[in-house]
Amino acid sequence: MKKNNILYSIVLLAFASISLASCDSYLDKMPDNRAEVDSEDKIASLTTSAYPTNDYILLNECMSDNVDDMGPTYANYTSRFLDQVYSWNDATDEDNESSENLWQSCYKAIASANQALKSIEELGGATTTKLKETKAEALLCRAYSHFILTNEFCMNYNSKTSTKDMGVSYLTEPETTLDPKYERGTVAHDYEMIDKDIQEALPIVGDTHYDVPKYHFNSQAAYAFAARFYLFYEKWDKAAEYASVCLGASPKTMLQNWDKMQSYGVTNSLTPRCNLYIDASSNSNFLLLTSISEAGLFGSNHIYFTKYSHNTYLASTEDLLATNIYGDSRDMRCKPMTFSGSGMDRVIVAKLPYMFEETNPVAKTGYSRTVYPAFKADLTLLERAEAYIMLKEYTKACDDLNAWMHNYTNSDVVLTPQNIQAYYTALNYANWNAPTIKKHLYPAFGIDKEGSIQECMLQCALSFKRIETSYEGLRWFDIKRYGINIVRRTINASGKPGEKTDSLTTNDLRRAIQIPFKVRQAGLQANPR
Amino acid sequence: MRNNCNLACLLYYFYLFLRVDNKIKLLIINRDFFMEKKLTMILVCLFLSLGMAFAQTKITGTVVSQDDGEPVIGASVFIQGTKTGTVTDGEGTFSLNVPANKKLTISYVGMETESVQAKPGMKVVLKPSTSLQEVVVTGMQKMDRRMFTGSTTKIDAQNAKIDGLPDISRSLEGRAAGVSVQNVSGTFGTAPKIRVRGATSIYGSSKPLWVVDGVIMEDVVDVSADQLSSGNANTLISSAIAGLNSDDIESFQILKDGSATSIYGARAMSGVIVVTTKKGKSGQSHISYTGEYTMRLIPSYSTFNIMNSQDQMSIYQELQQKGYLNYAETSTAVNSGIYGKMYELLNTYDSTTGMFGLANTTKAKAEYLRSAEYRNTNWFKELFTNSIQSNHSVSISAGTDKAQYYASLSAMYDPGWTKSSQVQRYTANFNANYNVSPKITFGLISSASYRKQKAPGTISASTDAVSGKVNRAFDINPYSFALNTSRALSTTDYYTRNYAPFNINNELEQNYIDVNVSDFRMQAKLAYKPLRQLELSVLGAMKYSATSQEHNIKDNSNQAMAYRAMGTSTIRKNNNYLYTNPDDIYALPVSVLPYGGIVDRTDNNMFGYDFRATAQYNDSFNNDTHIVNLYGGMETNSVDRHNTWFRGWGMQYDMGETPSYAYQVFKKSSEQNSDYYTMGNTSERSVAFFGNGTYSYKGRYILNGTIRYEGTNRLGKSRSARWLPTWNLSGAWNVHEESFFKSLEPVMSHLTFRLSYSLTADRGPSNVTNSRVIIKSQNPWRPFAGVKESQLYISDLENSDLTYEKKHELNFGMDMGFLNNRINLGMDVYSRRNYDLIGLATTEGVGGEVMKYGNIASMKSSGVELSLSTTNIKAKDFSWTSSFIYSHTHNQVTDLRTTSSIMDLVSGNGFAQEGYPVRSLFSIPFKGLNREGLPTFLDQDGKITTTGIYFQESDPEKMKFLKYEGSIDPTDVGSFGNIFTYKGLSLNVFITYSFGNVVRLDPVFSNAYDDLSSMPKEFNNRWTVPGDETRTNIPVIASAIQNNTDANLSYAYNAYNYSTERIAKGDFIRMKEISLGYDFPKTWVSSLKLSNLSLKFQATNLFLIYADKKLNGQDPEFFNTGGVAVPVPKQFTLTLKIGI
Repeated sequence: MKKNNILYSIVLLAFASISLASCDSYLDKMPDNRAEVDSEDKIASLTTSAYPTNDYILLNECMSDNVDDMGPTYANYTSRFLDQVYSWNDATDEDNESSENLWQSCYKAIASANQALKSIEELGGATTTKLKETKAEALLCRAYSHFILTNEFCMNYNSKTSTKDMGVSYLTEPETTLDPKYERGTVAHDYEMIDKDIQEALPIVGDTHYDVPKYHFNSQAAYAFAARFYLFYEKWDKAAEYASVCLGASPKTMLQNWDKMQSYGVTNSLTPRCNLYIDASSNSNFLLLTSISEAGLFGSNHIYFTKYSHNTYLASTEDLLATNIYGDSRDMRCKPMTFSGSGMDRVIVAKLPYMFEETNPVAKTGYSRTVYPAFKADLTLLERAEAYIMLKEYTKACDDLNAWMHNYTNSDVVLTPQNIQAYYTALNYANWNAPTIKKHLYPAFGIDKEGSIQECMLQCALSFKRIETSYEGLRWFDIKRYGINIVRRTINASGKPGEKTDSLTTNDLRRAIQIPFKVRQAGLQANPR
Repeated sequence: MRNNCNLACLLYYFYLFLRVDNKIKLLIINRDFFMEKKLTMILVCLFLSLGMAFAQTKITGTVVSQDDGEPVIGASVFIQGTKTGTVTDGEGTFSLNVPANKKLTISYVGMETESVQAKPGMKVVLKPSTSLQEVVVTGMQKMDRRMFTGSTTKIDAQNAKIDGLPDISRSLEGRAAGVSVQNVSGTFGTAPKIRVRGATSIYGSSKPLWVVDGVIMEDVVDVSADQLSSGNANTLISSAIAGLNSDDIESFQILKDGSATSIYGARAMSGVIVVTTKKGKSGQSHISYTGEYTMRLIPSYSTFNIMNSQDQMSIYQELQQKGYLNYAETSTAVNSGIYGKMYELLNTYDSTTGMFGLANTTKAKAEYLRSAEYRNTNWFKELFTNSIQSNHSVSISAGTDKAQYYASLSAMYDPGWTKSSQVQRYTANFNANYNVSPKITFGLISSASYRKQKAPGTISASTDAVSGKVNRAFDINPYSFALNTSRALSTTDYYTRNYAPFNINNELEQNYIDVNVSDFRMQAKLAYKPLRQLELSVLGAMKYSATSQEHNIKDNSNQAMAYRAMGTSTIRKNNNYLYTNPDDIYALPVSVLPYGGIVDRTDNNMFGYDFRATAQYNDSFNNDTHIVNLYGGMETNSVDRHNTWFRGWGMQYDMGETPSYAYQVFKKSSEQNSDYYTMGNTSERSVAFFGNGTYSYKGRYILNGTIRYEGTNRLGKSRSARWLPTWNLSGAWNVHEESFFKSLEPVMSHLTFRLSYSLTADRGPSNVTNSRVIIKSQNPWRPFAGVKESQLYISDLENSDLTYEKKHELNFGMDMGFLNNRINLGMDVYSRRNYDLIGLATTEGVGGEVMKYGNIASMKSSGVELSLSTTNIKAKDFSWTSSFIYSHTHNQVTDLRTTSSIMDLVSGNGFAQEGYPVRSLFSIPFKGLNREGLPTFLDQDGKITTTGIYFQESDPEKMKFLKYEGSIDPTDVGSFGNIFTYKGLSLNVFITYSFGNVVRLDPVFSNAYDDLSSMPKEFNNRWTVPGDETRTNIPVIASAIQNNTDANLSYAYNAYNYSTERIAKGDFIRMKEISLGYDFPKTWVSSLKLSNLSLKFQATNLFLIYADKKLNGQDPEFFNTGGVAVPVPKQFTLTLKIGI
């Protein structure tokens, strides 16, 4: 009897445990159509989402010296968010382009990359070509988003203070709990980590598995990113080396075809012209990214955000319309367009399209979208020139500057270190109400004295870069890296600078934009002010 | 695998259960049922102790049950007034030595006690306890009321039913203490907002669980509490029980505290409503017919605060003086009314008459405007009818000892209170029971219903994140149209909406939604009683629902025409429903809908099944001194939902329904990343084991405990999160069973105290399921078709700590009866602590999401419930009974780390904030009008401002200036009812009330107005000249110049809409029902060969006895959100009942 009891107990307990286990498998049914990342294809597909879907363009343009305040008559053409950005204040208003969205979007991309890397490990490591390439892509994506975050939310990298400057948290694992707390680390640490990821990725990067390579970190994009990163990292030789890998033997064949863009002329709709600029079949585009952004409106003939404008005065004294070493805008293959009239004074190139993703065509709801080249041959060429100048290889630098200039303009000027020096020493440094294309440079890494060949050639490269990157937000990074002092000024009714309201000095802490409000509220350390 | 599980679980349960008594276990295992009787004999011997000494007359007898005529085993037989007695054996027989002329008292749990004269060979028939109050139906088991320790209310459907309201859930309003029913929309198929003891969750639905005949009813679509009042089309299928015919319902049992609901443990946090449908009874047979004929009143402008056309036109004139409604802008405006039409007529040349539609003379124009001034259109009359809604139901019920059945059919036809809102509903219900043997019963229930409904076309509302304004393009809801449209407009003219001609009558005909809902449910239950004390049963149920919503936007509807409106080059340029080819430099906007209309179809299907195996053991020992009731079992549920959506462009309704689409539609969709069709599947699986034990000592002290262990797949694959044990422990003291209570009788006739403590839970909002990372697939937006690809993306990051939302509840209850229970008072006091609630946490965002849902919140709530029923007068022909129900509930969020913005806190839905009720509403402090008539406010920096309110501000320090107004959920609700009967006549007067909440008034103020909208009468009192600010708080109508100089003027008017000026109390007392019924006398009826005949006239929702004056006719319960939402009408119903 007693024995039987025990036997029954054992049998029934066994039943019970089997039943609980089988209940568990019954409950393993997926509650919805979520996916399990358990194959090469799925990991590659997941990596497709490892790119930020918000950009820095509007934010950076409005903080940089590419805009002026157009004064009270334009009061209707702004938003509270833009007012805060323009005046380098901590943003409180939410907006599609807000720093919070940029923060979240970059970290979301990082999360996808980390998840993909984790899945590769779970699958037994990157054993096949496809997995290797996917791993390279994920590493590069993780590095790129951290690169953007560091450059936006921190002081720029420099070998002197970056071991102390607050960085952003460098995340290498997917987050698994609700509200973990992070340390910010240092800018130097972030750069070391980016360096590590890039070095791990470059040997295995490849393009064999991409259907749409231009929207992924293909090898060219990878090397272009490496070139920019090492330029920012003050490792000039590496920057030049990777740029050369990227550009190959004949960079000239890769540059933007401005003549074709010019042939589209000025029409009611600038979209077809912009579509040319972000054409995936163009050799000049290495990596195209899409984002929820109104950058397309900001750089168009639409009356949006015209209070802060790349206006005629600015353009004709500092960049697009200004006299430069090649001549002036009449020598450009694709002429900048000037729109001025009621509620608008803007000089544009029409590069980034304004498009609308209509999630509901009946309710007319959706997102403003744009596409931008994150890496482009033209800019990589100028970045290589910059690296050569820092390496004092002036002839090589001049070759690149010439290549860019002859593609951008019809000018028959041939640049040499000497004529660049001559041209720039003759120019005055810009003042807020007497602007020129030349501004004082105070880079932390130190350069030869003002008027030297190096300084003059840097002036030339930076002025070309400013033209090349107009309306793409990248000028802001040069302002940070070279410690360029810029001002906030109001343009008066006669189109001239009326009033200087603020200025940003070399070590101004506002160069690192504030950590988003909610993130600070959750406990992450704020930037000092 | 599933079967395996069920069987194994069942066996496991048996094992647990059988350990209670090893001997019985042997019986079952050996399948030796003969031993059973011997066993019982042994038990009997054990209990027998007395009665041997007095050898008088030895009486033997049998005790049988009236129900099935089978012997009652284990019934107590006592000699009256002594402690001498015995228990019946396995054949229901007993023998006892009884002194002469002594009576015997025979009792058994669940049966009525009988006292009979002792006779040799006597046969005692025990009736089941009949009185309705005595049994509590928890949906899983039936319990003796005296053994029940939880808080519950039973509602007899017959009494509660409001005739003419086909959705039975609405009639629960005011019927039970602690239950609030808010009719946020009165449209058929829309669920009312029902709360049992208030909110239990912050983001969860707080909806009670509906259990019909023991089976949980699942919603076809998950519609959250806020969405219920949204007016969106999916609210039409939000009511899980709209397919039940109210005539088929026997009763409701509302389970309120954790002790009552804990058998449903992990789903029962928000209370349970158990519905029992009618069954056949043995020995009775009926056919009955019920017909209801309902007429609804057309709303009247006299109860609303809307300007007449004369006042309205004077506003338009002021607008014109202020730089609006001029020719250049209005003639090509998106929307225009009176003035737009005038400019159109001025431009219309009729070549046959050689005349313009309107001569361009000052006189002609003035005449045109004057006619508008006198028009006073009654939109309610135009768009509403008082057509008769009728509901017919026929039922047959019959039964013998062997089998009983109930079958019914019903048909409801509603031609529509408003235009374009027809409903037809057909239901069939069949319920049969068959007694295979005394030990085995088999029951079958099946029901089916079909609904066909028409509703005005609507698309889902969208909220502007910046201004907080809720927009619904193309809204044609007749109720909100009547309230919001200028009375100066004519009913026949076509005005302009979205650049296209618009006329409401035409639009309601051309733009509508067809809803089809079919529900099918069947279930079978097999019960086996191997012993009288033990019942084993298995239940299997299956349900299927198929719903479709087909939105037909016909060829000539405004919504279709808007896609091809390009009358002038300005319109062509501005109409954003047109499409411009981005590939073509010189492209002009073209229509993507050159012909036909749009058909937009959504299908939601649900298939679910349930399986449950239970065992119940009831026994009493020692003459009912010890009563034990054990119940336990396991269940599995499965629900699969499937939805598809499709939109067809260019459906030519007028041309034989042939599609003719423009290829640009697809080009555009592809470029703009819009879906062309979608599909989705979700699956819910759950498994639960449960056990409940009750012990009673002498019927005085009752101890009860429940445990349930539940698992669900809802929280993803994580095995740690999915399982949750829930439990309760409770006790009751039936004071009236104590010997000392005799001294209190008859003044006090009944007294019970109850106490319970429990843990119950819920799964939280349906969109929070990320115990593991959720990866989904999507098509990322790309500019051109050539560079498109699909991707997997992280939809939700992992939250490994995700768990159920939980609730601890302490309940103290008291039931008192006075004067032979003519006065009954029930009272419950409870205190709840809800924790692990899902909240929106603000995180550092380094994982990729700044705002994440997780179990971060907690709240506490407490309340009092009181129900008093009295029989005031009870005479032979006349009786008067009253009932008074009151409940108070208060909740407070105690822990919530989240970020909210000013917009969240001031908009009408309320928002959770630590230290405040779950749905608390705040206001921007209004500080009077300034010298220009613009409103001023206190702002976040403590300054006075007009446009300086930052709605997006989310710094808690800068939100302290907001004024707390109250909760949007009422805190005090209840009812007062009186029933008078005189012979066959009965009069019922039923009043409901609700207090303690605040309501945000409709946001009618704006920095600019058009000539289409109506305005409330407040505008008569608006600021017009400087100095007016001292006498009025109604801001000025801003001029075009004011708007041009201050781009942020909209902030000022928006702030005004959300200010302390625009808030009202939600308190009301409503005359819910007055009815007069007459039962024709039996003698008279039987001469017609009928068994009964009655007529009832009922007026429902007649008027508000009290409401805040600031509401000005706005129904405090109803959310006027457009779409398909209409309030519950005032209605009169005539009900005819015939029984044969």
